[in-house]
Amino acid sequence: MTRESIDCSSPREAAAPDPPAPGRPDEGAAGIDWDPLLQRARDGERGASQRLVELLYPQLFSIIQNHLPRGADPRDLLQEVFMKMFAKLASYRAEQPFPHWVARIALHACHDQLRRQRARPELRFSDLSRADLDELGAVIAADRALDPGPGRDGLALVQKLLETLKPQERIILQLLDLEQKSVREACLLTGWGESKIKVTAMRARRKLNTQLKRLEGEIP
Amino acid sequence: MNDRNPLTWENLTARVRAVPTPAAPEAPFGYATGLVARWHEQSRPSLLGSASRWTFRAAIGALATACLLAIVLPRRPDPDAAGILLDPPTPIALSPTFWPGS
Repeated sequence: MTRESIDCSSPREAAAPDPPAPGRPDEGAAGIDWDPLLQRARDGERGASQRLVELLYPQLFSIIQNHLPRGADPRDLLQEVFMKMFAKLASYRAEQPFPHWVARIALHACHDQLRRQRARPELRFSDLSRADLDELGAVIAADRALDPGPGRDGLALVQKLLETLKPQERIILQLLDLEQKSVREACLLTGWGESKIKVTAMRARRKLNTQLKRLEGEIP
Repeated sequence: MNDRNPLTWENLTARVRAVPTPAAPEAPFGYATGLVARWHEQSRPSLLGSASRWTFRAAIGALATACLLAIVLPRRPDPDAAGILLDPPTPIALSPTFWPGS
């Protein structure tokens, strides 16, 4: 497949009437009757296909951005996901909501992309930036009066920690712990079994807590 | 150490989750049009592609036919067995006295 990027330079002028909420396919699907749109897209109607792209763009962009490594450009993968969606459109059987079906394609594309990249070795104290150290300090500060509030720098630190995990562990923790999806939702989105998700999440959290405990010991 | 919270993944993510998530961007102008045009271009079967597909199918068909014929057709007859047709048994050989005990 060609990986040429579509021109994304200029902002879209005409807003889609019902844009799905970021990262929440169930919310984005509300109020949209997908079946006629899908049927028209299957029949090769370009307008319907374009409408599908416009409706799904925010949701898929959000998913890909959340699951790819920091600094990676999500646009190439986004284009790949849309192409896969069109290629598989005839096989969609409406056994699950259409946005979930597309989200699963996107998550599996992210998983494949992460598998191609080497996982970062364990996070060491020397890998931490000043902001990371401040964030760690804020987490362990018991005095809430000194707590600077929600950790904006914490996301970078969380991403660094997630990069030390296997792709599957990473995707599961992102869904459960950061996007606050239930295990059931994670099952629907990934297609993986409930017990697999629970066990993988438990192991991944244990790994991260071991790393954090070691880092805590090194903080002066 | 009693006045410190344990540094755990759960405590860390609790802080991160409190940060409002920025809204996902909408598709840039012309993105959907370009992407759908590319998809239609890509999915259109090319003449060369269909020709090579037919060539491949023909080759597979010929191979399958050859295998089938090799199984179905009788094996080459034993050249020694042809003599019985050319030289039928002599009357002596057919007489009951030729075979002792019969």
